[in-house]
Amino acid sequence: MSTRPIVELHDVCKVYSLGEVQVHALRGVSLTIEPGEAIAIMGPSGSGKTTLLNLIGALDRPSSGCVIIDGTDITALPESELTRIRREKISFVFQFFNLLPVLTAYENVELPLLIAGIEAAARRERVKHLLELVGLSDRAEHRPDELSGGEQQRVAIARALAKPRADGGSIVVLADEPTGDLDTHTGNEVMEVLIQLTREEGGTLIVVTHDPDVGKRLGRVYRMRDGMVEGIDSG
Amino acid sequence: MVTLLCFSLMSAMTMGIAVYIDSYSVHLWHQYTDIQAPPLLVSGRIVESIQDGILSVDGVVKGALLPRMYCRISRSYNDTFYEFGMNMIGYDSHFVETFPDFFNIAEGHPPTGPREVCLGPRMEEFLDAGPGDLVNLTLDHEDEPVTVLVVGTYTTVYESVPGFGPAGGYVLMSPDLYAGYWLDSVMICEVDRSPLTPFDARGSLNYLYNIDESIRMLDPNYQSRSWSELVIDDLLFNAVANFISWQLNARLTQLFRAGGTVVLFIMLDVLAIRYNLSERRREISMLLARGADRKMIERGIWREAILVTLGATLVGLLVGVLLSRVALASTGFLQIDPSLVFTEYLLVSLDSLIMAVITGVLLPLFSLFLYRRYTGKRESLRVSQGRLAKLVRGLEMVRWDVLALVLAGLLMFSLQQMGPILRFMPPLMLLLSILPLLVLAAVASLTVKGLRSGATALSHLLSPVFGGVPARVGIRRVGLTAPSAGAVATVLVLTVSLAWGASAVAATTPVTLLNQLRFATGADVAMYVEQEAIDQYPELLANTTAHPDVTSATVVRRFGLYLSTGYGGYTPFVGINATEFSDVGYDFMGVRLNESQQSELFHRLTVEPMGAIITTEIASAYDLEPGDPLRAYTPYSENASSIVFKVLGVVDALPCIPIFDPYGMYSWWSVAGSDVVCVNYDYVVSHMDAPEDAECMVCAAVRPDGNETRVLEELMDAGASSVVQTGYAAAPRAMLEEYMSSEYYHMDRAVDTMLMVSLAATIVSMFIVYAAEELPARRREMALLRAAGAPGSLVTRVFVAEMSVLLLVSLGLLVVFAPLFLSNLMSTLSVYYSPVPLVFPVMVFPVYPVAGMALVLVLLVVTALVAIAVIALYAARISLAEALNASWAEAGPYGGEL
Repeated sequence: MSTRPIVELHDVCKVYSLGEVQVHALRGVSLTIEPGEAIAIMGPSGSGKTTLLNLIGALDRPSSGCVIIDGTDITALPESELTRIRREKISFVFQFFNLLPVLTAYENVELPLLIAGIEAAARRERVKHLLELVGLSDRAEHRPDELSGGEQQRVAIARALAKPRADGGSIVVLADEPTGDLDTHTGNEVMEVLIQLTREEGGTLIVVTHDPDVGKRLGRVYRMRDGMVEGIDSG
Repeated sequence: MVTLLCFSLMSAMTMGIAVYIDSYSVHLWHQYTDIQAPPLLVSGRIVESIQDGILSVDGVVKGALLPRMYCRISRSYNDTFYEFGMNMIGYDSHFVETFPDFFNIAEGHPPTGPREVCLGPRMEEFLDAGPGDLVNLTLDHEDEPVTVLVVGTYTTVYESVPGFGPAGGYVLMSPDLYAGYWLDSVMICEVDRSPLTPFDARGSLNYLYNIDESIRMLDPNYQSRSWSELVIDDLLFNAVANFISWQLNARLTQLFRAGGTVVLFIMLDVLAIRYNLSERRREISMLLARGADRKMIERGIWREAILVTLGATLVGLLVGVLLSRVALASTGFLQIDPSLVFTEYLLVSLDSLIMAVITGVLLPLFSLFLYRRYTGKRESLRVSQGRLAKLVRGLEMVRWDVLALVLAGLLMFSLQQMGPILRFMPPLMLLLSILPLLVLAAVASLTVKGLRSGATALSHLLSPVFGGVPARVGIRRVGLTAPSAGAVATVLVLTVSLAWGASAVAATTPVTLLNQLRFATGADVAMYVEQEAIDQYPELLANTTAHPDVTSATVVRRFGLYLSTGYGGYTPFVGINATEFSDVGYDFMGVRLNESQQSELFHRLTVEPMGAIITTEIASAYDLEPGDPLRAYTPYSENASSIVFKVLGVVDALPCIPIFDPYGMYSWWSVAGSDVVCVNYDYVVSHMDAPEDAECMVCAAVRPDGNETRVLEELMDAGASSVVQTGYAAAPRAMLEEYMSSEYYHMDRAVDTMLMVSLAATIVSMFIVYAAEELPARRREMALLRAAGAPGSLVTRVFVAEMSVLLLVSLGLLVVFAPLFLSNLMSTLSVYYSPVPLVFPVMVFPVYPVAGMALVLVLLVVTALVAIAVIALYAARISLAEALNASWAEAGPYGGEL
């Protein structure tokens, strides 16, 4: 495994223009995350947590500063390169699951591998393994509207871990309020699965959450307020 | 925007049609209003006393009294006394001075000397009198007649006014004859025509009405009685009123012809409404959650719909004006002369605006009403236990769509097999014309179900073609999540079918009419003459045959014989020279007899003189088969009263030249060519006296590169006009050219061209509706794929797969529906040429123009490709963060159909 940080942000700012109003979503955020870590980003609404996640996940570009993913500065990369980074290095787990409704659980998990062009046999093996890990082997042929919230989120977690990883490097799993739409018991189960599997698969987990219980379960907690990192706590 | 676009189509189409009719009608204005004669006639007991008042009415330019009185005129000739009583008119000097061109003295001179008269053409004929003859005139109610001298013949300018008599007089008297008598005069006036304009027909009508009303007001008792004893014949008023009536009828006729397109627009509006409401689900949910009741929300929906409809109608009015230019520039179906866009008139009348606003507002609101009723009813029927609910659930169980498709298909097939007999049953014709809608509804339902259940299997099947991700995501979207995919496919199918239908009608009409006219005329050129004329002018046939462009000519005779004893069984016979007529005549398929399926029979007729070819009605009425004897009788022959033929064959219809019908034998209540026997004429006259009632037709075949119209004109100029009456010569191609240059044919093709543009716009609208529907979900889907590392090209391929399947489904449906629709259209198509009001054995000869139909398909594919390109561009510009971080209400706990 690589010894350099998997995620580095150096003095990152993000400014949105809403008409004539300038919104400073991030004000000079710097952080470093090592491979295999599980960290939480917490803060009140509007503190910049989701914006930070979007920048790390290459869904958006910073207004200033730089974002480095596994040694590659993605700040000014062309779209094709960003696509490759997203395909190989970054996964997402969303609050509302964001599963494709026309695909079965199996096919949703298979999707990143299909996009990456992995051959059928290898895909099959990987998907079956992941579904077993999340305990949904018997629900593989069901579509999202036939699954409960917790089951859908577990499918999303399996999908997030279905990455090609040709160089054996760590993947970054970005989870935005993964338990926000689940009841407490289901949420706990899902977090358990997320943390455990990410660790087992050698991934790095970054979770945005409001829930202090979630924060406690993770290694470090970045507290944010008004677009800045207010403090870092140990989990 | 999407809703506005769809809602504007109806008002655009109505406005387009109405403005086109109004603008085109400017060309026809003079046909109606070009009345050379003084247009205003005022008669009545008091007219003499108010003539100065009439002349002072605003708008009356000049006028004079035309003396008129009741007389009787008589003459004896051929041992018979003829007397006629009527109004006769006087040759008044002041009147002649005022209207010097009123009288046209054809022969002789005007009656200015004592006891002189001129006769009109009918009196000349009835009294068999001309210049130099004496006739008796009994003036007013005198007992004794006076003898008067006929000094000439005359007509008045009113002879040139269609349908108007010679101002009530057939005899023109010299002034001395009516001096001292009480006159029932008529005041004839000319009006100022400068205010009359086609650009304000109603204003013109009002202007003329005001003149008439002002004249009526001169009657001192008019206001107290509310009616006037003055009788006013205003030819211009009638002409302008007919013009306005023509405009209204033309607008309604064209709108009616566009009925299929109206159905299409209703479907499109329903889709747009569904799209609009589904985009508002979250908003409506929030309102409900905050305590709004459904009635309030319903009122809000209707208010918004009315506002959008009004806005869309305004947009549609402007678009309609532009569409009308397409129609005005049209010189034929899909043939445009671009210069006409700028040079043709533009007339937007109040009537057009009102019509377009009414239809443009009513249709979308009607569609909303249908949609709300359907969705509301469907929901209530699901939970209800009433009889209707049980019936609906029962129908759903037995697959109502399959039942409807099978029943409608069987009905259509059965009705189409009835042939021309169907034309005599308007209710069945109406049923046949609406059955395709039932088929379409059933097909739409089956399509939706088929897509839903087959989408997954189809995606696996097409995976090798499009790729794994595009096939699964794109193809399944069509069947599983796109709510209107089935409806869009159905609308596309109907649109293409309508476009094909218009193309087919344009190609079919001239071919059908030509074939029918050939059968009705019996040849390329035909002339109807009396038997005596043939005897008196034997060169007629020789001259016809000698024409350089005529390949063959013959005389055909029609006469009647009885096929049963007594006076029953009167049957038309056609007596021919079989050899000659085979080279000249046409069968009911429009094929020359010597090349048709009947050629063998006609050849046998040449070698078996006593042969007879009969039609199926006669065969079944008299139980006849080929080889049977056929006895015919006539009570009028002195020589022999019966003759025996041998039936050679039975056919569906025989050429009997029904285009010439002086005795009203052939009409709309029987099929042309039915109940006819064809025999050798020489055989008939060798066995009995020549039938006294025989009608003769000289028929000729013209060279393929010959000009039939010119041939007929040259034959008439060479002397045929002396024996052939006006209206009794025909050439099918000339009639076809007349039909195709008629205003009605031109308008039909122009409006169809305009509708094709509307249909093209419909195809584009459908793709816009489809692409815009569920846009947030589509955006998230694209963002998700890109977030998972899919390159832009893969996202585009997803949409390519989706659109390809939608197109494939549409094309598959088209293969099933279009033939049904087109065959039904052809069965109900009426090619009506008013001078030949016949029902033909074959009502339509369908022609399907491959090039035109292919063009429509190309448009469909090109539009789909453009949609793909637009979506691809859009996908590349999506903000991933925004798309993925927006809350997914539809996937959340409160989503789904409202």
